[in-house]
Amino acid sequence: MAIVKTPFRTFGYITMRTTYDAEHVVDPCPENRLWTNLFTKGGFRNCVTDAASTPPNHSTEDTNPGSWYTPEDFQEFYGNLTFDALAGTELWCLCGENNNNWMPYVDKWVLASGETTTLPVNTKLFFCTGSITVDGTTHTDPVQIHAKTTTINVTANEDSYGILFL
Amino acid sequence: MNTITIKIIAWEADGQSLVCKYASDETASSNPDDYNSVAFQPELMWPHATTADAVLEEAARAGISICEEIKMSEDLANDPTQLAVYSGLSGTEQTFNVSDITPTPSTEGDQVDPDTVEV
Repeated sequence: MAIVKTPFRTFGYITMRTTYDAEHVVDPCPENRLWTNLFTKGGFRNCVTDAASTPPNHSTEDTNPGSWYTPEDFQEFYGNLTFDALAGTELWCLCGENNNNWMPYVDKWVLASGETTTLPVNTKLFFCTGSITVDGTTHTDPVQIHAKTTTINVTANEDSYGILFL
Repeated sequence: MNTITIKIIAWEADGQSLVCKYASDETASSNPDDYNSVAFQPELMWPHATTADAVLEEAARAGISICEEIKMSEDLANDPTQLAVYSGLSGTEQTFNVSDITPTPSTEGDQVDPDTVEV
């Protein structure tokens, strides 16, 4: 069993990547959690709060690649959330506690396999997971992409996920 | 809580303890004599307080949490629903897996500075 958290420096903020083995997890969730989450691999199943949580014994939805949760979504519950993580689950989190209790303005970025998109000038994209080709170079590791002065064409070689810093 | 009343009942020389009683504007009674006494060791707890006034103020400060507990106890006594929850547990025996009721541990790796593509 292992949960591994790796912080990435992304456009001035810390984005935490968390990976899970197939395991049953107890996750303490404080009230008003200032988190934004993007699932990029695997997911959580059988998500439910425990008897001492608010609301108690409350089931929440399964998560899958592309699932996106904002601080507003985290108003749904607090206490302890238990779930079964699928093997290889990967989750990216902008956590207020890692960023001076501030949540940057962000949005989910998804590009399906085979699709191409153009990032307009001023786009700041943190590519998290998948495979993309940018100006003839293929990226499979996380990378910051900043269209500072010109647009950037991006092609997905497989379903790809990232976080837009607005 | 806006006010707290402290009454020093005694100095116990053997235990080097001040025996105190408390009440507040939120407790059912404002008379400290209506509540149990507690003992503090001023030399251990407040070595910086050497005058009577300073010790009295520290003892009063320590009584704030005492009064909060008194109020919680009084509130519970007036809450039959919650009392039923507690009394209903009498006789219950249940075994928990510790891993089910404690946070799952995690490890944190070194910070990564990802490559940047900037045009």
